[in-house]
Amino acid sequence: MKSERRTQYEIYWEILVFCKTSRSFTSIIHRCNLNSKTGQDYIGFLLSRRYLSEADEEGTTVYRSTDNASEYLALFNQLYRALFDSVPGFSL
Amino acid sequence: MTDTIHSRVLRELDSFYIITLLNVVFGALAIAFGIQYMVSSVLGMTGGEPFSLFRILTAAVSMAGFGLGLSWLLSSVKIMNGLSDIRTIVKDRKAPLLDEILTGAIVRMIAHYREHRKTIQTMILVCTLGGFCFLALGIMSSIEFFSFSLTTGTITLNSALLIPSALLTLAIAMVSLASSWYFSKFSKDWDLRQGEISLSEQALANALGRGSQ
Repeated sequence: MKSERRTQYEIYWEILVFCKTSRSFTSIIHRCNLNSKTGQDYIGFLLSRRYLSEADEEGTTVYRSTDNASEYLALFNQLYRALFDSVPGFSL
Repeated sequence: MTDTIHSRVLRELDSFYIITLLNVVFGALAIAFGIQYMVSSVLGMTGGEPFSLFRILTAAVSMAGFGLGLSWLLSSVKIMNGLSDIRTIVKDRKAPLLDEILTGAIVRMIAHYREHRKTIQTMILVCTLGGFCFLALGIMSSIEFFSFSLTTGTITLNSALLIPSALLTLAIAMVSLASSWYFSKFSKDWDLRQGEISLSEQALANALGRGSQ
């Protein structure tokens, strides 16, 4: 998925879901299809809001979602699922 | 609720996948028929048959049909790319899906739509034009093998072999026009969803503490 086709909120959501288990910077930018610069910006913001925590595991910096992120994740889930409730939907 | 949304997402993905697949098949047929009509029109002109405006017109419409068929096929393949991956994510897992897997599939569907919105708009146009083009070809070839006598009131069939080809041309026209209608409906639904996403961005910004960004 190209990053320019996703909103910043969708990218935050992807990072937070992926980091439910500890992940390295490289694996995050690879999985979320970000370049190094934008990856740093997104992760930096989430760290500043304490939605991600940073730790050192065997010499590698890893990131993990915190409990603070749960409110955002729940709201995101609710809003995106509601898209299939509010719009009639397309079928043959 | 999860099952309901899961089944709705799956139904929508399946419907869109079937239409796109149908468009790949009929796009390929449109190319083949465009070439066939074009070649037979041109061969007729060089084969000593009288020069007629009808043949030139058929050749021109066939050429347009061929071009539209090619554009139709390429656009369909573009849309299909990625759609089957999303479908696999939703289909291969048994309900109830984990919240994040289903939401992830919805996010991918939206991203896929944003990426291919222009192509889908082109498809609506190409399918409409192609539909009318092949409808004209079907009618023209039907005129060729049917002759009607005003004095006796009888209809004569010149060559029964031409019937399948005319029927197939008409089928391509129908599928093309129906696809245009379905693509318009799909696009309208997803534009509405895009609007809803834009409206909900403020709530997400607030939850992230980004204020009015």
